[in-house]
Amino acid sequence: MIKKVSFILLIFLTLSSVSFSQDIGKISDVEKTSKKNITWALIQTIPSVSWTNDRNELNSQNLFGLKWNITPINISFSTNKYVSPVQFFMVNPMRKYTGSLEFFVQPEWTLSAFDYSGYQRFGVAAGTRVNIPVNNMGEHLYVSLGGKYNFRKNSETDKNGYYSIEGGAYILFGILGLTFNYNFDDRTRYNFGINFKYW
Amino acid sequence: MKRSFIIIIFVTVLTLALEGCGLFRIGVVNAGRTIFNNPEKPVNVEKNPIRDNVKLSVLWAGHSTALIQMYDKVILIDPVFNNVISGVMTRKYEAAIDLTNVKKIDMILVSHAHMDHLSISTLDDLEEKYSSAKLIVPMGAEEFLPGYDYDIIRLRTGNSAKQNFVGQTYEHNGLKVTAVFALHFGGRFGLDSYSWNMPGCTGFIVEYQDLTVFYAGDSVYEENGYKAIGSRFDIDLALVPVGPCRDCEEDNSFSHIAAAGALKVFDDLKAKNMVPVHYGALEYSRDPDYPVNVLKELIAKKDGSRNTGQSGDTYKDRIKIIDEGELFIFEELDIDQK
Repeated sequence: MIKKVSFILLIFLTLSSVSFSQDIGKISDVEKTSKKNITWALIQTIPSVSWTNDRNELNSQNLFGLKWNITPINISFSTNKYVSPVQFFMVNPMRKYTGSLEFFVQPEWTLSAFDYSGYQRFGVAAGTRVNIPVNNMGEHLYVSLGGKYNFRKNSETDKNGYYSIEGGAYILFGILGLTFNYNFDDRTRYNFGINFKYW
Repeated sequence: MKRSFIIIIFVTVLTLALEGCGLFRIGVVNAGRTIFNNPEKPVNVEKNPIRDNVKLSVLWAGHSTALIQMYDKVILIDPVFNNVISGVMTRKYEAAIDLTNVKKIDMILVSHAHMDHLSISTLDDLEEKYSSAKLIVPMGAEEFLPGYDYDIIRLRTGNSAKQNFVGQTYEHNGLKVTAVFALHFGGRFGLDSYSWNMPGCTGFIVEYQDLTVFYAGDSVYEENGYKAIGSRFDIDLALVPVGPCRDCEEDNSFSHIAAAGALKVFDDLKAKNMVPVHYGALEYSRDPDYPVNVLKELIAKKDGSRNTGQSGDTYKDRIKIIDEGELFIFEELDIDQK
């Protein structure tokens, strides 16, 4: 486990090792599109962490898990005449936190089994949220409010998932956030998490 | 367990090596200051920065923010009035500018989208009073601008020899602004700048009547670029960054022009006057005033070795080091020009 975390950390830090001291010959304003696409895709593999409630009539526990945030479509409410308000997958944070509506997909995986509720460890949530700037046009703080359906099979019931409403607060240009979900299901009443998202 | 421990140590050491004690250190130092400190209030902030009898003046608000008056035109450069920049860097001084008596701003120039040059909240605050201003940005920076009431003008940059170091020009009511050479980064959020090389940085030439002002933006020293600008424009005033720098006697440091490089830029431009900027407010790796202190030493050294004997010809005469909030009037209007 430590090895895996170290490896992920290594990739992230290597990619984010911003070299102020890099040599001048490398400075250019010609965009490196392939490098951008590859590093962006790699960064998206860095998971956010979550704790998912697992319960029955007698017992309850919170399971540690990982989740990934994918944004197939984001529609910004605050764009200038030169840029499109609609973005797919690679969403400029500026257009997200200054106010936007987005459709999202979240694969989720808990590190241990659901002992009480009967749900499977892997699930995918899909939903819509609105991002609302609060401080410094959202750069320092923005909040989100949304709803989603969690596709997660339950071995003890016939259910294939449940609905949730979610809220979140995000700082540092949306890179770091806290989210809370209220689930409309007695067997997993809530989950909360720490979100990491870059671009 | 032992193996895991070695891996963690390896990752940590490698990370620190890759970071080169650069941003990592800056972030850590400034995060502490941001939590525990507030910026100081600047002592003397000019209350009337725009005057009827002025031909050319500059008010330096700290870091790279400056208010320029060219006759009846007012130009605001890289306005950042926030106390905390990038979420983790607290200014040493609050932005030293008071716009209470400034009735209009004709143009707002933003050289690139880095957070010490583009503050979307400052622009938002200014919009209420100065929505008729033209907001001029380099091509690429529009990606990092929200929707404003300003008329946003995107200029094609001229950052390479292929373009002869001069980009697109925009003119409004006789005030002409041209994107010129700068060698730095676009982007805003770290990787998009330094790794993906998103475009969107520029220097500016502003021309009005018989006056020409140059603002370098952020850049590194590149002889051909600045000589090309100097040969094409007759520059009255150059605003040139002098930091941040670890060794300010180098031409460049941290992908910025350092104090020694700034003097070379000034020479290559053949400008009449220079005001150093991009120091004083933010601590990168040393005292924020270190770049300008080195600049003063270099000026004294160079003036000492040249000793032309002619008044007005020395670096000291032509390079005006002004305090935050200070208005420096380069030229007043003649009585018949008023």
